[in-house]
Formats: sequence, C-alpha cells, structure tokens
Amino acid sequence: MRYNQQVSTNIAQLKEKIEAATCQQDLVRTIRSLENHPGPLDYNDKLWVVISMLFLGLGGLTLFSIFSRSLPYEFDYWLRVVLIYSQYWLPLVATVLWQLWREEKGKVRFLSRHFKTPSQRVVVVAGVTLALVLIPYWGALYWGALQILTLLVSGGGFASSELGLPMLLVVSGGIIWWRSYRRKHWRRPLSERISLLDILFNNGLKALPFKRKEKAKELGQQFKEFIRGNDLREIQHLYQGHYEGGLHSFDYRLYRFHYVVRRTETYTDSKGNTRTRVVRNSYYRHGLLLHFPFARGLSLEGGSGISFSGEEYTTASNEFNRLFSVRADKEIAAARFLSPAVIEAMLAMASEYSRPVLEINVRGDLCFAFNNDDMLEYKRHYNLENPVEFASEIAKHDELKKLDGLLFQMHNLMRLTDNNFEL
Amino acid sequence: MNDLFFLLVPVLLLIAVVIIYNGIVGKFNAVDRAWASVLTQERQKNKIIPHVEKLVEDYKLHESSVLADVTRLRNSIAELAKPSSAAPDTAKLAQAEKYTASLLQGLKVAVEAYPELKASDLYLKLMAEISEQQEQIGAALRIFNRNVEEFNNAIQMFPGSLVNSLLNHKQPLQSFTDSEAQAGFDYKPNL
Repeated sequence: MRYNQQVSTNIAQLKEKIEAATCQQDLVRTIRSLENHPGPLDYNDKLWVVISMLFLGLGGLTLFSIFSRSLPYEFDYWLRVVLIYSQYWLPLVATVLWQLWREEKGKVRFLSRHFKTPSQRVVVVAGVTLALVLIPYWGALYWGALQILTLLVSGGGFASSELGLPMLLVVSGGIIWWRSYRRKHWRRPLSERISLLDILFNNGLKALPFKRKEKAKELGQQFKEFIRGNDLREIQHLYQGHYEGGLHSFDYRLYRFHYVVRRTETYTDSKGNTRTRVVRNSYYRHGLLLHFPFARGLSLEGGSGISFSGEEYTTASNEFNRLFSVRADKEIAAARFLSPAVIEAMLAMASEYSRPVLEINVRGDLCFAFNNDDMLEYKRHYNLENPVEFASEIAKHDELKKLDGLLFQMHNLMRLTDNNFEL
Repeated sequence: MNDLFFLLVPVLLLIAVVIIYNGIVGKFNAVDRAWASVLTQERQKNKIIPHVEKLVEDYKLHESSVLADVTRLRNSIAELAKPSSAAPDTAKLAQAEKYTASLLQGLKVAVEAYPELKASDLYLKLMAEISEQQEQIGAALRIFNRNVEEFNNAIQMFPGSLVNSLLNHKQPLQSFTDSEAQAGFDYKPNL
C-alpha cells in the first residue's frame, strides 16, 4: 500500500517536472533522470489483476451458462453455488478493495486515529463487513438491491438478479482490469505528452490558455466555419506561433475544433415496437487563424458542407469552380483576390487538404480549415520505457513539415495578393 | 407501359442532348474567359511602366535600351487591348511576352553598369513585381490551356463529338505554346 503510494508520488513529481519544462533541454534532463531513479516507479497491482480476472471469468462463464446452457451439470451447479454465496464474499471483496484504494489515496483519517497500520485498518473494514453480511435479512437486501440495479441499468427493461450479478461482475472486473492496465503502462501517455511538448518547443509553438466552449463561441462570431453541428462546439487545442517569411511575417494560431451533430432516429426494438433514440456523432476540424490584411469579406468553400452568404463568384478555371464555391461581400473583392496564381495555389491546397474552407472576415482575419489531422504529427520509435533512447530521440530537432508547408502556402497567398510597391 | 417507354426515351435523349450542347457552349465560354484573364494579366504590365520610367529618370539610364524596351512593351500591350477575331490571338501575347523578356534583360544590363541601382528600393520592388506578373501570366496560361483541353475533349469525345457535329459546329482550339521555348528543343511531338 505504501509502495503504491510512493509510486504515485514519484510519477506525480515526474509529471510536474515535465509540465514545468520551458525548453527541450528540460525535457531531456527529466527523461535522463529516470535512468538512475531510485524508484519505485512501477505499481504492484497483482491483487487487483487477480481479482479482475476472477470477476471476469466468473461473470463471463455465468453469462455463457445462462445463454448457451451447454456447461456440464456439475460445473454449472458449483458455479451457481459460488454465485449464491456472493451475498457474503462479494461485499467483503468490494469493501477490502475500497479500503485498499483509500489507503493508497491517503483517505484514512478517521480509521487512522484508532488503527495505526494499513493492515489493521483493512482487517477492521473486512470485520465490519463480515458482521454486516451475517445479520438477518441481509440476503433479501442484497438480492433486492441487485434487482433494482439491473432494472436501472437496463432502463426498466428487466429485473433479474440471475443476469444482473454476472453482468455486474463482468463490468466491475473490466473496470478493475482497465485501471490496472493503465497504471502498468503509465509511461505511454506521459511519453506522448513529452513528445508533444518537444514538438511545440522545436517549432516555436506555445499552448494558449482558453475555455473550450467559450472560445468556440467567440470564434463562431468571427467565422462561419465554427458554426457547425447542433450540439456541442468546443476548441480542444490552441497553439500560437510566429512565421518569418521572405516578405511577410505573421503570428498564427493552430486549433482543433470538435463539434457534435445530434439527431433523432427511429428503430424497432426486440419486441417489434417502434422507438426513437438520440444519436450524437462527433466531428473534428483543424485549421489556422491569422491576420490577412490583403483581402476582406470572402469565403472559399471546398465541400465541407456549410453555405456562406454573399455574392457568388466563379473564376476562369473550370477545375477551381468544380472544387470551390466562392462567396464575397463584394464581387470585386473575390475578383481581386482570385488572381490566376492564387487559383493555382488554392488548387494545390485542395489536393493536399481534405474539405478545405478559406474564410476572410470583414476585419481581415483569415481562417483556413480542413479535415486533416496531421499538422502536429510526429513519429517516435521509443518512449519512457527506454529512457536512454527516448532522451536522444527527444534531443533531436524535429520540424513539423506539414505545418511549415501550410505556413509557406499562407505566405505565398500574401505575396500574391499584396501590393509590391506599398511594401 | 410501352407508350410511356416510347415517350420517355425521346424525352431523356432530348435532355441529354441539351445538357451536352450547353456543356460545350459553357466550356467554350470558359476558354474565352480564361483567355481574357491572360490578357488582363498581361495588361497589368502597364502598372510597372511608370516605375521603370522613374527608374530611368532617377538613375539617368537614357543611354541604355530600357526606354526603347518600355515603349515597345507599351505598344504591344495597347495592341492586345484592340478587339481581334473570336479565336484567341496568341501571337500578340507572345510578342508582349518577348518585349517583357527584353525589358528584363535591359534592366539586368543596366544593373551591371550602375551597381547602386541594384540596392535601390524601387529596383527591388520593380523586379519583384515583374517576376510576380510573369508568375500570374504563367498561371493564367496554364488555366487557359486546361480549359482548352476540357473544351477539346468535350467536342472530340463521344457523344459530345456527335452533338458538336450536328449542332454546335465548334472547331478544336489550340493551346498556348511558347514558340521561343519550343525552338530550344530538337524534339517536336507529332500532334
């Protein structure tokens, strides 16, 4: 118990160091510190894994027995005996696990006043539970509670403790196993976080503080691109960077937008009744925000499913007209912006980005959005499980080639739409 | 049922013919517009002429060929503005392009003779503008050529070829080629 507590403390310290890193060297130092870390850094969850396996096995076998009825009679008999006696052992196992979890989290203030060691406290909790399960009518209470739970989980569909118990065992066994698995592999998500921070440092990107829904609402007031879906709209990532081009330099923000489309669909249940249910589908868009002072009030929509208002404009290129629908506050704004070289640049971008939208609002702010999710893509061969190799991998300078390409294209649009004699 | 079938087939055929006919007309008009866009870009060179003249004035480049090149370019751009036949007059464009190249060459020669010119702000902006204009014309020509290809496909491929020979009577169009650049190759495709 104290061992796992120490592991949690060590991992928390490591996370703190990583989050406090201000440069690549900080990250490399933190990774290298793992090589000679005094530990412990790996949880001892053997008991939890064994219990999860027992729950999963017992629950799975019982469900198999109920639905197939093909288990040998003796086996089936003993299985049912074990389940009937679950009114005694299940509360006992549950409370012991609960106490172990509390011990690890340090939430034992009340009991620690009277019982000094964790083992004493676990024995006390087990003893109290045992006393509770031995009181008269406990069985009726237990099976009744299981029936109510089954009724609630099935949405009022059925109330059978025969089915409810194995399902409860499978679900709780699965949760315990998943928790143990995540704790065993805690290095992986932390390695991904390190990789992301490294790539941000390498490319001069900074994570901006923001409130997810409020930011989406704010951007929705500036760009129609963010008015999608009819349920949740939120910005999930927002990074700020600076691009230094040959002619122009600009600040930009890179984002990830999540929106949900809610719809009601009808279906026929097992009894043949027509019912309705609400279905929510999540979608993600990515893009770049920057100030673009060379055009205003126009949009180029490349099949992403939103319609813009304004005057319609078609260009001299058949290919472009098939891919983009152009709308502008004034037709002349679109005519000025869409010079032949810009049309070609947009055609090149349309072949690279899925369902692109280029929107420039009346304030001269540009939003280029698409479905591609690879702007911050980076490939790593190692993680914290191999700290030496991972540290040397992180120490390298990794450039985001796709992001650089996109920024170059934005700079190209600026170059082609500016006035060379007013620079 | 049979009556409906016999009525439906000619109606569908008529709709198909109308769609193909309109498609050919639309593609021809797109070529026309793309060519107009090429000429518009070429005429944009008018924008650089006053700046070149200012450069000649500021750096006393009167003895160089720059002024003569400017005059020839101005005339050829004016020639482009004159209405010609319905078919794109690629020769006039080639002429204007030739004079642009000559002006660029003249400016480069002038730079060698006047090193202080190379560092001047106006010269740098002018070169950036000329290079961008050439890029725009190149892009406009590529768009024109793509539209020409689409139009030619529409009138030469079946069933467009049938509709064209009966109703539209359009001739295949020639895409723009740079004769000077072509002269540099021994190989010529047997098109």
